[in-house]
Amino acid sequence: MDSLLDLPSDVIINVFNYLSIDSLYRLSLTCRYLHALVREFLSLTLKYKSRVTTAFFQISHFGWASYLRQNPRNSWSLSCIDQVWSPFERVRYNSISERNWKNRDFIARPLSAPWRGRLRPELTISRKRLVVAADCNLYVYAFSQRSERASTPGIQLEGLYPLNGSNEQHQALHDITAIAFLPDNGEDRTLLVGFVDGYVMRVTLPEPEKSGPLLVPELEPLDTEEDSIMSISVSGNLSFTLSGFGKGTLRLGSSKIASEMDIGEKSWSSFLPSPNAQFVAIGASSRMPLAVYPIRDTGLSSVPSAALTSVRASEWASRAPASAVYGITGPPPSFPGNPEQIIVSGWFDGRVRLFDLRNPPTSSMTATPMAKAVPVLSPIMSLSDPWASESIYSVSSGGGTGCNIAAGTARHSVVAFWDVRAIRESWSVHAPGNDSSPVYAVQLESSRLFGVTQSRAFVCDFGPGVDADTYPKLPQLTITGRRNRRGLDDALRTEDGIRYEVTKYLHRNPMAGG
Amino acid sequence: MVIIRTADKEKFTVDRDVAECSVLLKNLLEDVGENEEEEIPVQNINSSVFRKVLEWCEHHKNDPRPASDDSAAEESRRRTTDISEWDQKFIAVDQEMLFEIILAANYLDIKPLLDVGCKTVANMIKGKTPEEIRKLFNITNDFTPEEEAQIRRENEWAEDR
Repeated sequence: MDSLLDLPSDVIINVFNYLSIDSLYRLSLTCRYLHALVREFLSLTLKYKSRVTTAFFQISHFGWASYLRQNPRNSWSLSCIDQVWSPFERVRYNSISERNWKNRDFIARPLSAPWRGRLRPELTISRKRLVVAADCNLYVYAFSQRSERASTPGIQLEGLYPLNGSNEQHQALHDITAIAFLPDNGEDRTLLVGFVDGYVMRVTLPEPEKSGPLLVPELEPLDTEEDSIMSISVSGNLSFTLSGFGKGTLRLGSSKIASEMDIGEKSWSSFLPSPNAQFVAIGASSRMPLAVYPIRDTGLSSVPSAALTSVRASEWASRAPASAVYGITGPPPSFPGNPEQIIVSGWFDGRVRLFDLRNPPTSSMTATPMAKAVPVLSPIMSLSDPWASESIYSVSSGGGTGCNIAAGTARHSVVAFWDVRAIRESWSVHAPGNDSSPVYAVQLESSRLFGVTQSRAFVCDFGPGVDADTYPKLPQLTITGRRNRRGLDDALRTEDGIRYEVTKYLHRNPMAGG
Repeated sequence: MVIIRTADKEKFTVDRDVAECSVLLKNLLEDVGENEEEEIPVQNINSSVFRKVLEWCEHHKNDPRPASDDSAAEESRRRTTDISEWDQKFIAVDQEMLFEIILAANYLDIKPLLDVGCKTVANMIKGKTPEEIRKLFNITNDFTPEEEAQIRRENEWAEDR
């Protein structure tokens, strides 16, 4: 009894639970038996996936699968491929992505040729598709569902659908201002779309398998507001639309209006954390720029249950500064605490602030002398790029180890990244093309960031194996040198047609030492 | 008090709440009920190892018992390879005894002790090269050189860089 191999396999597997990737790997290099335990059993599990026995089910928790279970990574665009990949392939992909995150190494690319004019696009993502709404057009990108190649699963343009003119009730050419996927039993073809003219429509994308000249989305007007729709958030069966005048509408499913509210402020952003959280967070230009409104059995309340402030509580009474919140989202997956109670917000003053709704209120305020006092919470974390003070327009959480927050800023197409465990390592990147544009929307996942500027949608991919076929082909008028400086794509440079040049910078001054 | 007989026929008189650290013994004791005269045999464990296990149970008898269906506690337990100071001293034994304790904890179904043992083994593996791991645990390298090179090539990504 002096060899590890004398221990029963279930005990050895228990040891795996405490090993890092490189230790697991080095252990698997010692002999055939341990190599088999760490890896081969898994290929068996996969091979016989269709008729999983109890034993195989337990085996699937071994080694790589066990590591994966304890180190989950959230990704929309990889969720289809996840069903095909072995745990080994997934761990390999995750490990390389994490290392690339650490080294800030990624491939940046536009997803399309530049749009004409300055647009204010939006994007939304699901397990099967990424939809970019620019002007009145929907650019629908489909995620690869098969892994024919060893490299990274690709993303291809499935269709471009103009939403004007295809519906009698909405013929005017009006821009899309807000968009979100609605649950539709995994089809991922149903969208809730808000327009600048106040229309809210349910849009059903055509089935991709069908071919024909007249592939048009179905439009079903649900509602119309007096002002443009600024924000749509969907969570489970609930959807919330917010107009620029601060009128909020909660729907069950996609059509039935459950409740309405009116906060009477210039409003920008909204966030429904989960169907169970029973509140909606709203960002506005106001003396109460970010507030949480309860969703009760009786419906939405126009009186907030908490005001989330940018200043410390002690300073609240003396100065309640007017500000604005343009982007709201939930915490990164690995952030401690109850994810339904943590709010990440992007502010007018260029800061990203995190709030924990379970914290005790630090003071209270009254919006009007007659109104009930509202508890006020101070941020638990405040993030900024010291080299830029531009407003934050969009926020998203995710990243390599599930600890990152990405923020799209108001100028120079800058996206800032913070790792909440290591704020000092934060950095920013200019999106490909380096437009003098805001980044209007961002979507961060474990290995990819999708974003939109006034000119284009773009991706930063931290995963391995990106090649010429991973992303949609771009027209070859882009330049591999300094010719054609007057062209629209002047600032887009690529050596190999895969990786486009971008400018990155660290937030901490590398010259300051330390 | 309960009487437990080990594989080498030594008899131990043990407090019931100490014995009940072991899920196996707890279940057995429920079966024998109040008949205190009855000896409980544990066939797979020698007295030297059982004495060591009892020492652990004695010290941990008042710990909250892990509920078998508490997956959150399970996860947090697994997240860390930290071992309490007392347990570290307890488990500072030669490798043969360590493996015997692990086997006994596995057999007697004492999850927290099994975890202490497995964490200790994991900590011994950490930071070592395959060759060092082989030496440490008496593992014979049965790969052909070609196989070994192949595995190394497939797994280059996992190396710490």
